[in-house]
Amino acid sequence: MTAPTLVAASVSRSFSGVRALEGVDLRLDQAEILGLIGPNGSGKSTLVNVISGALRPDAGRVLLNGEDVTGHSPRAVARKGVARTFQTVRLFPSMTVRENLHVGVISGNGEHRNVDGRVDELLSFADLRPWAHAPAMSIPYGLQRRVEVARSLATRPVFLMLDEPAAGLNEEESDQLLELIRRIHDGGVGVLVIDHDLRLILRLCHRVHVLVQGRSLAEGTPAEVRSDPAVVEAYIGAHRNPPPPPAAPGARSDQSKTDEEDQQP
Amino acid sequence: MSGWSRLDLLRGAVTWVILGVLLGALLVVLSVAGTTSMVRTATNFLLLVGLVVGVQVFVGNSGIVSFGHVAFAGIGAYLTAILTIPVDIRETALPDLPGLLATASPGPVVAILIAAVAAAVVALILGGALTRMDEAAMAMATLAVLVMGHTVFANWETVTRGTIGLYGVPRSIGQIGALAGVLCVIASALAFAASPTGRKLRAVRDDPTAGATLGINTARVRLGGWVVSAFLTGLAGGLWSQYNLAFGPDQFYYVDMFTLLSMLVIGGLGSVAGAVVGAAVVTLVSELGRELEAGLRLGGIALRELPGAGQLAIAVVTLALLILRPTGLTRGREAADWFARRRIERSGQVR
Repeated sequence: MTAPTLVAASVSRSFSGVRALEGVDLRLDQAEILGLIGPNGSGKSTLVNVISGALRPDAGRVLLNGEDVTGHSPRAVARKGVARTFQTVRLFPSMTVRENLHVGVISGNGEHRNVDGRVDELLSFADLRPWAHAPAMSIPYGLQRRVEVARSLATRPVFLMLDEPAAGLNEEESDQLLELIRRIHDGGVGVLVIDHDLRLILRLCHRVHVLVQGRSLAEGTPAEVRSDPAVVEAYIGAHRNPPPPPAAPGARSDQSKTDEEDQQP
Repeated sequence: MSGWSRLDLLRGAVTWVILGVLLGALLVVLSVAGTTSMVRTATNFLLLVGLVVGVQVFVGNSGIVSFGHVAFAGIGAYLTAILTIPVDIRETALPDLPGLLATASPGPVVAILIAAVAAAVVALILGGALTRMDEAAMAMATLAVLVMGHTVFANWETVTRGTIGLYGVPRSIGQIGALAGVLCVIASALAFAASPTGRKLRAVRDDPTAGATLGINTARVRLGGWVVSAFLTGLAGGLWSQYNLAFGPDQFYYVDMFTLLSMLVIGGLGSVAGAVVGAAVVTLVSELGRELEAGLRLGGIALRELPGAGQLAIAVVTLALLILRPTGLTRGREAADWFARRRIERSGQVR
C-alpha cells in the first residue's frame, strides 16, 4: 500500500469575478508538516475550504489517496479522514471541554468502545486535564485553540488542516501549540498549517508553500523559501512596508467570502 | 455500549432519581394532606410533564422549535382511547371503525405502546423531509404538522368522531399510574440525552458547521431526535387519554402547543429538569389564575371575575422570563448539575 496523500491539482476558484485561486497545486504527505503562507487575501483559506469540501472549485480536482473527492460535502471529506480547524475557534459553547472532545470521538471513524478512556487520553495528550470540566468558552483563547485541535484529532484523521492556529495567541501559547502540532505529526498525521506567523511556520514545517494573489509562488524547505528572492519581495517584503488596513476590500475579500461560505449548512 | 459516555449516563441516572423523588414526594404529600381536587391537579400535572418532556427531547436537544408535537400527542391519545374503549361502546359510538380498530382490546399498557409506535412511524415519514430543511424552515414546516393533525382529528369522523370528540374511555390509571408512566418518559428522555445521537444533536444545535466538519450527519441525528421525541410524546398522549377520558380535536391545537412550549421556555429548553420545572410553574400559575377568574376577595376588596386571567398570567410569566432569564429557570442544567454546582460552591466557601 502506498502512503496516503492529499492533493489539490490545478485548483481555481473565483468569487463574483475576483480570482481567489488560480491553478494551485498542493501536495500533502502523511509524513510531513506542510506550511501554507501568503499575504492576506492570497487564497490560503479558500484553498483549505476547497480541500475540506466547504467550497466547490471552479476548476481542478482534490484527490485523497488518488480518489477524486472534489465537491464532496465537508462531512464526507471528514469521514474519509481529513480534519480541519477554523480561523476563529468554533467550539460547542453549551458543552464542557470534555464534552467537546467526546463529540469528536463519537463523530469519527472506528470503534467507539470506552469513549471516556479515549477522551481522557486526548485530554492528557493536549495538556487539557485541569480544564476537563470547564465550560468550553470559559477558558483562555489559547486553550480553546488546543481544545479545537484535540477535537479534530479525536476523529482519528489521516490529515489535519489548521487554519491560522496561532492567531490571537501569545508567544508562550504559540510555543505550546507548536509542541502539540509536532506531537500530532509524530502520531502519523499529515498536517497542513496556515499561518501569518513566519517564525512559527519556519520552525515547525518541513516544507513551505507560498501563495500570492491566488497563485503558487514558491515551494520548498523553510531555508529555501526564506532565501527565495521572489518570496522576500512578495511576502516578507510586504511585511516590512506598513500592512494594508484590514478593512481594505481587496485584502479581506477572500477571507470574508470564505467565512460566509462557512455558514452554509 | 458503543459511543456512550459513562459520565453522561451517571448524570442522567442522578437526574432521574432527583426528579423521581421530587415528583413522588409531591404526590405523597398531596395524597396524605391534600384535597381530592389537589390530587387531581397533581395527576394532571404529571401527565403534562410527560408531554412536555416528550417535546423537550426534540426541541431541547436540536434547538429547533416544533409546533407539531401536539399532533403526535393527539395520535397517541386517539389511538390509545379507541383501543381501550370497550368493544360494545365502540360498536355504538364508532360503528364504522376500520379493521382491527373495531375489535382489538390489547389492554391499556399495550395500547399506549402501540399508539406511541404509530406516532413515531408518522414522525419518521414526515421527518425524512423535515430534517433536511434548515432550522428556520423546519420550524415553520412543523406548523403544517400541527394543522394537518388537527384537520385529520376534526374530520376523520369514522375514527375520531370529528369535532364531537371521543368519550367512554375507561379510567385505567390513577396518580400512581401517571407517576410510573411519567418516570418512564423521563428516563427515556434522559437516556436519549446521554446517547451518542443526543450528544451529536446538541453539537449540531451549537454549531452545524463545526458538527459537519467532524463528520456528523446533521439530518440523521435530527431525524433520530424527532422520532424518539414523537414516540415519547405519543406515549404521554396515550397516558393522558387514560385519565382524561373524553376529548376532542381542539385539545391538540395551537393553545395546547403554545402552552407546552411556554413551559419549556420557562423551565429552560436545554434540560429535562427544565421541562419538569416549567410544567410545575405553569400549572401553579394557571391554578392561581383560575382562582382569579372565579373572582377573589382581598382584604375587603372584592375583585370581579377575570375571564382569561389564567392564560394572561402564563403569558406574563413567559415574557418576564424571556427578558430576565432567557435560558429558563434551570438555565438548561440537569438536576444532577444543580447538586454538583452547590457542592462545589459549598466546598469553595469552606476553604
